[in-house]
Amino acid sequence: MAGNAKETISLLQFILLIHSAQFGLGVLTLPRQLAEKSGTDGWIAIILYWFLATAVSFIMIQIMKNYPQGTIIDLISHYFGQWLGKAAAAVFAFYFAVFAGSAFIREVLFVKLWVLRGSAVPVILLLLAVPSYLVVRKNISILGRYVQIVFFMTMWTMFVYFLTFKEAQFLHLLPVLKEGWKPIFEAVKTLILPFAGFEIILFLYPYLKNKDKAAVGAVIANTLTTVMYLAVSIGAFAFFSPDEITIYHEPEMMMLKVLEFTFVERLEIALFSFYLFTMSSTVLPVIFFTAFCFSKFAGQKKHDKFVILFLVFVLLFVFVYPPTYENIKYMQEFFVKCTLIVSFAFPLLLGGYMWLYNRWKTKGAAQ
Amino acid sequence: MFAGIEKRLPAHIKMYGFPICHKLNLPKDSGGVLMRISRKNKKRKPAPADTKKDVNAKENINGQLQESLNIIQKIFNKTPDLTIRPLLIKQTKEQAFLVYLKSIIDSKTIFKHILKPLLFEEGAEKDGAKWEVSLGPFRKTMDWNQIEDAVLNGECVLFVENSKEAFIFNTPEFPKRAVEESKIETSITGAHIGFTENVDDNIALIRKHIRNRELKIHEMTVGERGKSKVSILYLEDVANPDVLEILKKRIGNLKIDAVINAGILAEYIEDYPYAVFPQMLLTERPDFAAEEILQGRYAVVVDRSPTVIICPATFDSFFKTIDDYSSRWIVASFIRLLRFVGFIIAVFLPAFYIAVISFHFEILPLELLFSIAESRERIPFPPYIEAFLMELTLEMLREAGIRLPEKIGQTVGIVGGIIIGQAAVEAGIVSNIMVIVVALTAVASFIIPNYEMSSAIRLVRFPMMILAALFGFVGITAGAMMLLAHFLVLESAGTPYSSPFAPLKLSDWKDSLIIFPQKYQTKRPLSTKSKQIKRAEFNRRDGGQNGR
Amino acid sequence: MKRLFTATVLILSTVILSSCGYGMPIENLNFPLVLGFDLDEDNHLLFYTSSPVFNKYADEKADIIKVKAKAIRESRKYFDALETGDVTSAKIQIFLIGKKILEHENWFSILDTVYRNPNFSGTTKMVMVDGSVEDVIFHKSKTKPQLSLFLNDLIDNNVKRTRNVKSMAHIFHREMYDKGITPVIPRLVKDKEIKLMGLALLNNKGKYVDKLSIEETSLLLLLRNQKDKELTLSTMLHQVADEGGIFNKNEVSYVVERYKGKIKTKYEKGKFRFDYDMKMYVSIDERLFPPGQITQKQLEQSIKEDLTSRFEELIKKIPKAQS
Repeated sequence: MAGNAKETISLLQFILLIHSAQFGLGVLTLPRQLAEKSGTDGWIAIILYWFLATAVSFIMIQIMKNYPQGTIIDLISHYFGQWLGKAAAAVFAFYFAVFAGSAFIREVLFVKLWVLRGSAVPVILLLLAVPSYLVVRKNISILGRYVQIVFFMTMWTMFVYFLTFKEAQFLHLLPVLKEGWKPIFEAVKTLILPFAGFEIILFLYPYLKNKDKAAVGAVIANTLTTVMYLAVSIGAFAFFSPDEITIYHEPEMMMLKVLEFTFVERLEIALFSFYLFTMSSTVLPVIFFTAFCFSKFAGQKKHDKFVILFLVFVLLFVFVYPPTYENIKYMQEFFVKCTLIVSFAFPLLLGGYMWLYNRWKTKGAAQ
Repeated sequence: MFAGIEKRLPAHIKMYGFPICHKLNLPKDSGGVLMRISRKNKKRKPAPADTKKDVNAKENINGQLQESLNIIQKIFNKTPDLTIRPLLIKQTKEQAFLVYLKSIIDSKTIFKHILKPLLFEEGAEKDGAKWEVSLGPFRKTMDWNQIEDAVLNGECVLFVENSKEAFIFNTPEFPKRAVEESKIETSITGAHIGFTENVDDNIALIRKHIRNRELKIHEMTVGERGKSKVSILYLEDVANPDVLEILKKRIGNLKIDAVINAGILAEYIEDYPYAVFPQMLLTERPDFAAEEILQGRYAVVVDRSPTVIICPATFDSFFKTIDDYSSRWIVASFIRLLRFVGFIIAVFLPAFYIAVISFHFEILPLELLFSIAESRERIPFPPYIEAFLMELTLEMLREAGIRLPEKIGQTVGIVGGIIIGQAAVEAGIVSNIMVIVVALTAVASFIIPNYEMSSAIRLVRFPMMILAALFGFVGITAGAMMLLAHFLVLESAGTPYSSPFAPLKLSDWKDSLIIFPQKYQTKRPLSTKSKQIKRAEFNRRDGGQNGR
Repeated sequence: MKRLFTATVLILSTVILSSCGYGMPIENLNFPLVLGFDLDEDNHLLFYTSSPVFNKYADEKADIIKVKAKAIRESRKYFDALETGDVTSAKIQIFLIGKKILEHENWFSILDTVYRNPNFSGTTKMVMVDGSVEDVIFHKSKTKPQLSLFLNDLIDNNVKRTRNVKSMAHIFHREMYDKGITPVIPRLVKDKEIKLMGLALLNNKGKYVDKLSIEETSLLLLLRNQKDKELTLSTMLHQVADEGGIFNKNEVSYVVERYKGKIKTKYEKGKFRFDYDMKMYVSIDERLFPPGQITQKQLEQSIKEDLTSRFEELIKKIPKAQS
C-alpha cells in the first residue's frame, strides 16, 4: 500500500505532522482549563502528560514494527483477518471523523468569534473547506509538505506571543505547588484533548522513509508540543492574575490584544487570521485520515471522494445543528472518551497481544 | 471535415497511387488495402494534418527522369517558387535535374558548389562516386516522403537519369536575423547575447558555454504540417534520466500541426496545464540556459523559436537572473529577497488594501486612519470597485505599452500617468492611498525577472482581491492557503515544484532566497535529483593546499 | 460529467460565498475615539462619545454625543439614532470615567462588554476624570489637537517619563482581579486646560480612595519596578543654606540613570513582610547653589534620606487604600 515511492515522508515531516495534529486548537483554551483545575501550577501537569504521551507513542511504534509495510488497518487485517480489519477501519474512520469534525467546526467558530463576526458559520466553513480539499485530496507527502511549510511560516507568531511577556508578572507563578499534587493530577485529564493526535503514528509509520528513527521522531514531536504548551501556559499564567484567567474563554487571544506598535494597531486581528494556517495544519491531517479510513473501509484506493463527502457532511451538520461553544464542548467531551479508547486502551491491548503473540511464536519456533 | 477527406480520397488514389503501383508491378490490392487501413485509422483518430503524402505513399523513385519530374510537379503544384533546373552532368554525361524552392535556399552555394562542378568541371573518377560536388555532406534517398521534406526544408534534390536514388544537398537559407541581445531578459553584467530563431545557432550558443563531451543532444521532430526540430540538451553524467524519459514521452506523443514557438510546446509538455504558475522556465539567454544545464536541468531548444525551455523548474528558479551570479553575493542576495517581497506585495497588497478599508480598519494607526478616511470620504465607490478599476486600468496600460510601437508607446506613459495619478484623485474617483497601492503593485510585479511568472502573479491578484472583498483577512488567508496548496501539488517534469521550501532541502537554500558566496556553492540543487551532486571543490584562498 | 459537476459546485459555492460580504468601508463608519462614562445628579449613567468627522462640509472636526442609557451596549441604540454611520467600538482609544462613578463600588461590571466583545481594543487607556466628564469631552483647545489624539500622546509621554501608568484596559482588569495589588488609574483634572495629575488609588471593589501627586506616582512606579525611559527627581537639600527670596537655591534635580529594585518577601506572624532593596545611579541635572557647598558624600546621603522618607510616606498611604 505504501508501495508508491512518491508517497513517503521525511523524518521532519513525520515529526511535524504529529506535532501539528496536536497543537493548534486545544491550545486556545488550555491555560484556562488548567487554571480551573489546578491554578497556576497547571503547567506541571503538561510535563506529566508528556511522559504518558511519549510512552504510548512508543508502544504504537512497537506495534507498527510488526507490520512495517502497512498501516494499523493492514496490520489488523494481516493478523486478525479481513473482517476485523474492516471493523478497525470503521472504528478509526468514526474516531477521526469526530476528531476532524469537532476540530474543523472549532476552527470556524474561532474565525467567527474573533475576526468575522458578521459572517454565517456555514459560509466560513465553505470558504475554509476549499483549501482543505485542495491539500487533502492528494497524497500524504503533499500533506507532509503542507504541514512543514506552514510550521516554518507560522513560527514567528510564537515570538509575537512572547512580546506580551513584557506585561507579564512572573510572580503569579509562585509559589509552586500551592495546593499539593492532587489538583495537578486532576488537571492531567484536561490534557487529553490538546495532546490528541499522536495516534496518527499508527497511520504515518509505513510512509516514513527512515523507520529506525520513528521512536526519536515521536519523542521530538511530543516534546515539541509539550514545550509549546508550556510556553503558552506559563505565559498566560504569568500574564493574568490567578483569579482572572478563568474568566476568559480563550485567554491567550486576550493577551495578544495588549500588543501595540507604532506602525500597526490591533495586530491581533491580522494575527488571528494568520493563525488559520496553524489551525488548518491541525485539521487537515485529521481530515486526511478520516477520508483514508473511510476509503479503506469501502475498499477503495482513492480517498478524494471521501474528503468531499466528509466536508459536505460537516456542512450539513452545521446547517442542522448551528454550533455554539456549548455544543462543541459536548462534542469534545465525547471525543475525549473516544480518545481514551483509541489512543490508550487500544494500543495497550494490542501491544500486549502482539508481545505475547511474538513470544509464543519464538518459543514455538525454538521448540 | 471527415466527409471531405473521404470524398477526396478515392480521387487521389486513382490519380497517383494506383498508376505508380501499377508501374512498379506491386500487387495492386495489397497497396490499396494497406492504404485504406491506414486511412481508416486516421479517420478514427483525426490527425491534425491529413494532407500527408497523398501522392506517393510508400513508393520509391524509379529512375525515370520524366516520371520523377511529373511527380515533383504534382506534389508541388501551385508553388511558383519551385525551381527545376535540368542539366547535363559534365563528369558523367548523365541527364539530371535539380529541384529546390528558390525562396529558402542559398543560391550562391547552389551555383558555386553544385551547379558549377556539375556543369563545368571534369572530375577525376574516384572509386564509387561518379561525379563530384564541392559540398559537404549529402544524403541519398529513394523515398518520396524524404524528398518532399527535404525540398520543404530548403535543401535541393538532384535527380539523375537511371539512378534510383535522389541526392539531397544541404543548402538552406531561411531568412534569419543576427544574434543580438534579448529584449525581454536584459542583463547588466551578463553576456549581451540572446537566442535566435535558428536551432543550430541556439545549440551553438549553448555549446559555446559548455564545451564538454557529456553535453548530449537528443533530437526529435514535432508537428505534422510545420515540422520542427526539437533538441533536448543535457549533461549525460549529471542530469536525472527520469526527466529525459518524461520529456521524450511527452514530446513524442504530440500530434499537432506545428509548434510555432517554445511557449506552445511548453504548455503541451507541462505537468499541470490548468495551473496558474508556469512550470517550465522559458529563457532567451544562452548563459542562463547553460547555467541551468550545468545544474543538471534540461534545455529544450525548439527550432524557429528564440526561447528555450528549461526544466525541471522550481518556483524559486523563476526569481533568478544571471546577474545574480555576476554581482557580489551580498548585493545579489538583497535583490533576490527583494524579488520575493515583490512577489508577496504584487499578490497581496491590493487585497490587503481592500480588506483593511472594508473590514479591519482598526489595525491602522490613528494618524494614518485619519488621512485615509479623509481621502476616502469623497469616493463614491466601495473599496473593491475602486481597486478593481485601478488594477484593471494598470493592466490595460501595461498591455498597451507592450503592443504599441515605441514612438506611440510614450504617449501611453503620459496618459497612464494622468489616469493613475493626481487627476483621478482630484476628480474624486480614487483615493490617494489606492494610487500608491496600484503603483506599488505595479513596481513589485515589474521586478519579477521572468515574464511568465510575472504574468501569473498579475492574474492571481484578482481572485485574492475578490476574497478580500468578501471576507477580509480571513479571505486573504484562505486564498493564501489555496495558493499554497496549489503550489505544493505542482510538479515540473516529475520533480516537486515547491522545492527547496516544502520538501525542505536546506542545502538548496544556498541559492534560493539568498545567495551564499560562490565558494560555498559546491553542490548542484537536490531538487533536480541529478546523478552527480558535486559541482565544485570548496575553493580556498590558499589554492586548496589545506583543503582536499 | 466530472468536469460539469466540479464546475457546478464551484459556481454554486461562489454564488453562496459572494452573497455574504458584510464589509463596511471606513467612510461609512462612525468610530468613536473617546468613550466617557459619568453619572448625573440623579445617579443615572451618562455616556459620551467623541468621534472624528471627515466630511469636508462639516464645520466641526469632532462629533460629540451624550446619551443616557443603562449599559454600553444598550447605549448603542441611542447612538445609532444620532449618527449617520455605523457606530463601531473598534477604535476607542480612551475611556474617560467620571469620579462620581468611581465613588461607588462595583462599577466595574459596566465595562463587561469591553472584555467580552473582541471588537474592543485591549489597549484602550483608562482615565479617571476628577470632575465632570462633560467638561473634558466638550473641551476645545485652540492650540492642541483633537481630544483623543491629545490624551493619547499626553499619557504616552507621561509613561515615557515615568510620571504615570499606561492603564490599558486589560492591565486594569488584571489589577482589579488581583488580590495583591491596588488598582490605579490616571487622574485627569480640568480647570482651564486638561492636565494629567498623577494617579487615583482604588480599592479592590474599584472605589476611589486616594490620589497620588505626580512625584508620588513616579516613586510608586519605582516601587513597582516600572521605570521607563527617563525619570527626573528633585530634592531639597537642608545642608545648603537657603538664602531665602523667590529662588530656591537649595534645590537639586537628578536623572535616575539606572535603577535596580529587589523585593524580598517573607511571611511572619500572620503578616507579609516585604524588604525593599533599591539601588539607583543618578546624575545631577540641575543645581541652583554655587559649587563647593557640599561634598559628594553628603549629597548622596541627603538624597538617600529624602527619598527614603518619601517612599515611606507613600507606602503608608497604600494600605490605607486597601482597607
